[in-house]
Amino acid sequence: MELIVTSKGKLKQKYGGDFSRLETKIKALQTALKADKLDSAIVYVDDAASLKPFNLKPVNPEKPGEIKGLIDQIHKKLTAQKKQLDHVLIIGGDTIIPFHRLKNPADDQDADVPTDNPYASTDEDILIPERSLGRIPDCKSADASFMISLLDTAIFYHGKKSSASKSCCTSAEVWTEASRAVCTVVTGAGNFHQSLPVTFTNFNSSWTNGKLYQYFNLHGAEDQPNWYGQTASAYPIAFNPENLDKSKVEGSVVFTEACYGANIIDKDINDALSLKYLKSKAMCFVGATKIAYGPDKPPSTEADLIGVKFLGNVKNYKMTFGESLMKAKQHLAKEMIGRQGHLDGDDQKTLLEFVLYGDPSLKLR
Amino acid sequence: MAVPKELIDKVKKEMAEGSPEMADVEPTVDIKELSMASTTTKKLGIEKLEAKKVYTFTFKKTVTAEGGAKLPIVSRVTTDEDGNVIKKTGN
Repeated sequence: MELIVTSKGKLKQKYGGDFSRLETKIKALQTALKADKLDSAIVYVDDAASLKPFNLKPVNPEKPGEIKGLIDQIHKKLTAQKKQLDHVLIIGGDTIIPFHRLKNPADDQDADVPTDNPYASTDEDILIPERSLGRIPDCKSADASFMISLLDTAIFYHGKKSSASKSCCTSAEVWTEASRAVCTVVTGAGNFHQSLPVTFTNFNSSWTNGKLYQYFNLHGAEDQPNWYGQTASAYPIAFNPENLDKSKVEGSVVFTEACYGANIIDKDINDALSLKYLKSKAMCFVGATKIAYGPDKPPSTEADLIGVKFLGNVKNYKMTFGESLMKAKQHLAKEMIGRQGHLDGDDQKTLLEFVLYGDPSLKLR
Repeated sequence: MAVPKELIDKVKKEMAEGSPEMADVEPTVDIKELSMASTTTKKLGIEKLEAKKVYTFTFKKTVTAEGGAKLPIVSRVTTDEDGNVIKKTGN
């Protein structure tokens, strides 16, 4: 079963009369899930009627801890009924169903880490997720058409195979060795691009056009939509939302290691590559909400290790996107504890900050 | 117990060689004894290992990217008590 979690009050508050369009589209998603042999339930966390089947009371939609508690209770009730909770799909961005804001375990400038990990964990040990979870976000604008288009993408791909194929890998030049170790999971030697010499002005749209796997290992900034390369002490703009205007990326699976690559808070479509990719009908986007870490050469650690495992799970084991990220995080934790005996601050931050945008129950057909 | 100066100098030298942009950065040094909560190892189905003392050297600077964006750059080297490098990472 896929549990669809959102807030009726927050959706109505933001979208007004368009709430009914959203509600209709969410129900259409349920129909698509059913056709894909997946039961579902819509839970409005602040609506008594939708919680009645579970004999639970509404919670405050502004309190992520209460929402987590609600999901945990629903999970227990389903288990008691011998029903499986396969996926959790959060509908809405931070103003609809808030990210948890956890203390930053790494020594850097980020005060906290917006994360969905607690929603994906069955207990208070929130570093290790045990649920397949994804989020269909909205953007800053009060126009519901963005979120409706994302729901349409999910509906479409529950019935159809992506027509995208092959891959595109783009890396800061200083991380070439490390990036190739990730890319090798989804590609051969071809279609690997380094910045420099690549910049957003010479980025060839054919590199991403029609590509299934799109991997980026570039710098990012909290207040900019751009991703940056690096050669020595030069940090050129390597890729930005305008590059996607010239490329068809529908049906793609995107993984980025860029710092703030999945930061959507207070962002509109052209303020964040994550939102631009989703608007352009990417099936799934995985990235970090804050500063992300990785090695400059193999062996893969942190974000690189999440990337290797996520892409491998999607491609080689045909896991759903939500399961792929969940298993990648579990693998990272086991691998790093095995290598060094513990999870340091950077490992912990990696586990928390990588999020999935898209329907977690989708997979490659 | 303070981190040996020879180790600090060794890490700085290696950092400057591998990442010249950090050559002028003085690292902060953190000494920690790290272990995992048994709830976490149990959840992962693995053995809990004994706590280890590690030294973490953090190099930070802010660089200016094309277009004027300020990028925080963090590079970190973690060693064991004997100075063996456990991990090098960066953003």
